[in-house]
Amino acid sequence: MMTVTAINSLNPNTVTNNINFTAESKNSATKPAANTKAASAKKHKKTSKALETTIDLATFGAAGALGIMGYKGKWLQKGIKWLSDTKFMNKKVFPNYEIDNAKFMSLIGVTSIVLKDGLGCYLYVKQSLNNDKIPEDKRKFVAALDLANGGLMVAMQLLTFFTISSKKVQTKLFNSLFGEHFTRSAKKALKFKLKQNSELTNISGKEFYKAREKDLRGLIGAFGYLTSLAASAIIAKRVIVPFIATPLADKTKAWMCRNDKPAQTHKDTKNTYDTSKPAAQNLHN
Amino acid sequence: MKVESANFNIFNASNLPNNTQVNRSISKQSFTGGIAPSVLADEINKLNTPFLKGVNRLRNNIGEFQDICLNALGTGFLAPLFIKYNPLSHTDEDTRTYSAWRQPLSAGLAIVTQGGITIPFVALINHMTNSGWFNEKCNKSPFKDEKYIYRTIKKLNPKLNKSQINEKVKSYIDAQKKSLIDNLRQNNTIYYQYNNSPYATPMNSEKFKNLLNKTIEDMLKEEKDELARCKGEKLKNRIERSDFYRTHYDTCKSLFTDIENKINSAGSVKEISDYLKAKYKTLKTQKADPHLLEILKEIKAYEVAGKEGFLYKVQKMQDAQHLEGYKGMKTRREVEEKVAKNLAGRISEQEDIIEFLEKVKQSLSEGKTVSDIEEMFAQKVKEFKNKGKEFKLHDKIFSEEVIEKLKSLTQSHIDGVKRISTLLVALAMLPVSCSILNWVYPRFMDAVFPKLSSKKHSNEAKELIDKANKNSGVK
Repeated sequence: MMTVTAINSLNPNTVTNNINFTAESKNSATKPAANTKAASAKKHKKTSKALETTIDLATFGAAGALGIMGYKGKWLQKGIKWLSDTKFMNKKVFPNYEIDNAKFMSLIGVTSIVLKDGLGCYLYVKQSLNNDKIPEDKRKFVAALDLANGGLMVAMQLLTFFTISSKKVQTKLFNSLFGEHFTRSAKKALKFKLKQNSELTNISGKEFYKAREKDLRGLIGAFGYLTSLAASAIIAKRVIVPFIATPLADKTKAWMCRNDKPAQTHKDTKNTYDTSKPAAQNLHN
Repeated sequence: MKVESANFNIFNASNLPNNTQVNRSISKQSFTGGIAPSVLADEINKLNTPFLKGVNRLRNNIGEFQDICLNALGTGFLAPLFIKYNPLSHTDEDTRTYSAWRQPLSAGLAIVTQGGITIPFVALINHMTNSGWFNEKCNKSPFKDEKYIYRTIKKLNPKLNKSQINEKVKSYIDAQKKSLIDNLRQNNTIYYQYNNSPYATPMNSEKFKNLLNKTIEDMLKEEKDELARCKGEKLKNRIERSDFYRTHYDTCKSLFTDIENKINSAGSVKEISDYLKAKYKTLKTQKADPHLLEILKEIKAYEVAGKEGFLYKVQKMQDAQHLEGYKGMKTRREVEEKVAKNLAGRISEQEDIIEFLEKVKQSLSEGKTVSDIEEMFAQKVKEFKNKGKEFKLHDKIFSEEVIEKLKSLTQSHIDGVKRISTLLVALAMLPVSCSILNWVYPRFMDAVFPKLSSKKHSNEAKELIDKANKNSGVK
């Protein structure tokens, strides 16, 4: 009995293994026909697994063949060229990019965030919920965390997109910190200094101002990258989002489990969460 | 991704189609070059503050891959900590730890998928723009990138060392620019190379006309903005400052004298800067007039130009155009008149320029060529010279302006293609990366953290079996 208990604990997908085993042992003692049924199910499982592997191999093979054909036929290049010739690119994207239309850029940015993070969130949640390899007692939390993370990520990305990562805010921030180096007097001083260099004595005002403007644009760009990295990519997306998403995932999981019976958590799990009552009840409390 | 056969032609008469008429007789302004923008950029950066220098260094060294890695570091190291050690969560620690491990795996996967797909994808687009895959809007073949040129020369001359390649790159870039300008002047067009044709093809005439118009529109806008500045902000600021000089002549004179004395006696630039800082602080505490504080700030900005720079600025502020010019004036009206008179020359010059550029625009609509326009510029410069003046746009070379405009338009189109196509690629890759994570994650957890995933290691399993057998007395 104990041996079987130990072996049973090897099954990665048997979360409530103690309870399951007890039920199974009773069944095996009273209904021997069940063994034949189990053997048949095992055989069927083996066959379907082989079929699955064959399908997977065929899919990979087909994908590989398509990849080689595409590479030889330059499908990717043709696809990109086709995209650049579309009416949408020529009538919408190019004219707006030419004038650096802030509204259009924002629209593209927001669409990109919502589409990428939204679709990513949907796929992650769906796949986590249907992933038998994730232990059952953790699966819903993993999915709930994906959902909370995804939703918050979209919200946070939009928030930072319109605040700290926006060109306007970054330019203002840069000017308030380093604006004194780019005033008219500062530029004139710099030009005066450059003219002292024998190679640059004949530098024209236009040449200088053009170069300084380019330098400024580059600096604002790099500064914007740094502030975005610090504020958005690190603080907002990696600190604030997981910090809020984790407790939110508790609620989401409880909502997902609102119709579930009380579940037995694995015996090794450090339990800090009361599972004796239905989860929905915990949510209301 | 593999670099395909390279298009490495510079478009001159030798590789034009046979039926293309090449007008060789026109030879006007020759391409002289001037100060290389990269040299100027380096010299300017040398004078930046250490922090700004650092930002510039970072800008030049952080590429897309480093960006992906930095983002992944945040996902991989920070996010899991805030999931596992989250005091607000009531879920058990094991489940949180199990879920937290999804983040570093996802980060690792992001490096692989983004590094393996997005970067080569963008590199492919760059390659396509240089090698003539695109139509005129995104085609960089008349002004290929330095990187593309470098790679192609290296591929064609595998035995050359780095400095030899760099030399070849430099001469190629010069030849490329010269060829562009020559074609604009001689043939009134720009030649493109396409990957499906061995011959250079001239730009569509309507699009070329449009490009010339956009170039002149840009120049007009710049000058109109300057005129508006002269009539508005500049006039207002100058009147205010000049009136301050009039009403506070003695205060200003004494301040300038003090500063000048300090500059002459100081041993170092830092000493002068410290003096100016202290002076600024004192005046601020004494609630001095903002104009006085502004004057100090303007002088302080010359720190970068050293002692000579400081002296130049202080003396300039006291000359007849500034402080001394307003000494003894009785009313603000007098000041306004003098400033307006001083600026009148500048304003009328601006108006002249705008009128000239409007004429150029008109000429373009009548079908004048680039060389005709350059001729108009040359005539204007001569006209001014005869009057003993200098035409403000004397250093403008119209063909170079056209090239700059073409480059910026093409780059903006390429940015658009990159933005949309990388978005599409990212969307197409999402199901793949999600599936990979979904496959890897539980297996990784089973293998590395069997306790967390309710699976024991084989040695632990053996121990448990032995223990169970012992307890139940089975031999």
